[in-house]
Amino acid sequence: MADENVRDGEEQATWEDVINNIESGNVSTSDNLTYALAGLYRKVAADYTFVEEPTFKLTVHAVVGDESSLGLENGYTFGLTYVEGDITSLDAWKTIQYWIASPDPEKNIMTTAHGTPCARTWDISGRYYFDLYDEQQEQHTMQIDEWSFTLCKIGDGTGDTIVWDNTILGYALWGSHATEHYEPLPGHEAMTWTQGYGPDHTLINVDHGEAFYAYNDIQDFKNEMSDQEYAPIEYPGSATDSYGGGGNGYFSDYEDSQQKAHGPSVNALELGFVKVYNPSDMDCRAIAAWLWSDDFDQNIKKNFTSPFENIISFGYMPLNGLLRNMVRENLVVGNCQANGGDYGSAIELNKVRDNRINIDMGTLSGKQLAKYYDGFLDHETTYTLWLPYVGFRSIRADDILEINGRDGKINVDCWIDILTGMIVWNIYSLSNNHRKTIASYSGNCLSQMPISGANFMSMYNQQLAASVAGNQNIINKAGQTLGAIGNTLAGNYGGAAGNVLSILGGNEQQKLIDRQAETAKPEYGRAGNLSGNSGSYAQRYPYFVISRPICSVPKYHNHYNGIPAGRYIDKLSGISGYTEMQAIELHIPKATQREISAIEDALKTGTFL
Amino acid sequence: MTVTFYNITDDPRVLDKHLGTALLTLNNVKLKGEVDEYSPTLELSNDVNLENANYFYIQEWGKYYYKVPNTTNNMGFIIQGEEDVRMTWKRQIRNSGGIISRCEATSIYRADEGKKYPGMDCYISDDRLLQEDRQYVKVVNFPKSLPDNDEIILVVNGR
Repeated sequence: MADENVRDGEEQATWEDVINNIESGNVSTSDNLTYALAGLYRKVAADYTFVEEPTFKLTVHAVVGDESSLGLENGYTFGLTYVEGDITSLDAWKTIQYWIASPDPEKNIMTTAHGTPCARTWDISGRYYFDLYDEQQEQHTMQIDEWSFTLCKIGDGTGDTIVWDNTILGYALWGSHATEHYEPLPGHEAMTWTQGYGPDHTLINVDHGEAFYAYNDIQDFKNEMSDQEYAPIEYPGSATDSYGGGGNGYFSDYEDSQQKAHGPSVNALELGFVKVYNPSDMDCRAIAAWLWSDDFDQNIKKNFTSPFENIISFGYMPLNGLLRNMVRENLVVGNCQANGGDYGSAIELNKVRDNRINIDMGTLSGKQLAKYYDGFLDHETTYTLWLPYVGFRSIRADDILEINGRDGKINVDCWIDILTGMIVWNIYSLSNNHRKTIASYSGNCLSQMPISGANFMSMYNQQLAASVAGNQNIINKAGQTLGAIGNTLAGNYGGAAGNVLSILGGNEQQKLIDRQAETAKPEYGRAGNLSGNSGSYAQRYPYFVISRPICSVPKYHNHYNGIPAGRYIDKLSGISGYTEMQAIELHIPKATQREISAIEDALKTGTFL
Repeated sequence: MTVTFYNITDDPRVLDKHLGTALLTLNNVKLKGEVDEYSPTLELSNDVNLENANYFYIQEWGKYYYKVPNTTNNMGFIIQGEEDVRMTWKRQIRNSGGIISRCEATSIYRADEGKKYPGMDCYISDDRLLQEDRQYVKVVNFPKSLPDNDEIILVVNGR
């Protein structure tokens, strides 16, 4: 772009250049920091003329925790490398590097203490950057780990000390000419040198802004580029600028963090009305033998005690390994003890002691789910969650995309009520140490097994009704989609849609219709109702089915069309390339009205600035 | 009037057009008809060869014009121009501001704040972008599952 603050012919090294070189391996790890700093330096190097020996004063105050927190190994010291001489070119600046040899080692070498914090202060003159020094080998280490970059943050000051991550306090005065604009790291503020040495070579004002970026900033940018993690974009905060909502709301981002659903506090199996047994296959055969026994005495007794009436349900659930702390107990149905065991003995079964079971299905990270494009297509992505014994359920894309922060996760757990077979799925989003319940669904995971004809018919009718209802949902969805397409194609432009279309020209109308027809594909249901018995024949783990639209972007699209911006700009000199304006404020008193109209029209229809 | 003719190849929508070498500069060019700085008509003699010229600059007005196709009469050439307001007022346009609806740039420098802000770094759905008629579908499993094996449950009344 045309940048008035960068003089013609000045070499511009952008952050992209720096990152590209780091990414492509053109610089070694140990050079990363140097190169990154040099990348910034390069912009001012061309005009970086010192009329007298510049004086740099640096005070570094590093407070270091125990060595493990920094990754420091025994024998390493953290020191400063300083560059000697009055050098105005980047290459020369880079090539002359000396380890500081201070008469007082305490001033420039900090040895990490073992497990105890230590702090040192340096007062050093000269240009500088940070390096590591291997004390054992008495040389600079050429393999600087990343942690050292995060530690080594160089900056300047305005007279006051500046704190970087509680690690380094810096104060530096630099000799330079006035006002340089730097290429900022995307998402960060631009840097400006407001003043350096004045015409009479006296220091008149120093405000370097952020003269250097820390390695963290580079790392953030790398993350952005690699779509791994996203550095926060710092938008202007005012609600009235182009980034705000424009209203007078409080714009509060406060939110509560929720606990996981804890289930009911009442254990129904402790109340004495119902009992839940976990019989084995052999136990079941014994129970059946008792129920259908031809023993006369037993049948007389059963006629009076009606054990059938007291069997509430009989089925199976996906609970293998989850029923703990059971006790062995003789089967008593109502007030009738079962005597179907060997030689007419009592039937001893595992008795379940708690009807509530919680199962955590683990988490999926934001990286696995969210932000594929980092654009509107992500919001048009459909996230369909399969939940065992429930079926497919749609989750709002916004709920998923919201978690794409540094620690964003989606967690799913379920509660099962053994008494009824009810299963409740809770879907949580975890982001920035906040948990939110974004959805809850219920189903039934008890697969019933009939023990009588009436029992079977009841069960069958329930399953049939559920199946019909589920299929009807699918039919309804297909019908709605077809209806939507039909409305569009039939030219049903009533109401607001009609107004919009009437504003558009004929070609625009047709394009919009075409676009709707292209995108309004029929939506198909993936499954009917899969509760109970049918659910046990389907997948038993939750999973996402993610359907992403694919955008068709022609080559050079941005060059010929631009992309929607919606941004305010005070001077168009701050932007380059193809630009369309929505509203313009022209300050051209000499132009005629006809010219003003022509200029406005030119800017609104598109101009290559 | 002093008129300099050029042959330009830039897209008419380019603000600051590359003029290249001037083809011809004529002095004392007369205007025909009323003075119209937006679409002036120039009278030129027949011996002037402007076959390659498609653009001209009127020095006295400091304005640039597209040359519309030549017409002649008995007196010589009549050249009609239409002002290129982009080129003529490029400096003033650059100093003007407003709301950008679309742009190619990915960053916007705000001179009033001395800061550079990110442009829209993502595509917004509009009628200039189309989606393909297919979707990319993938499945992401949660790490854990309900047990593969079932347990028989018998629920009865009783103490």
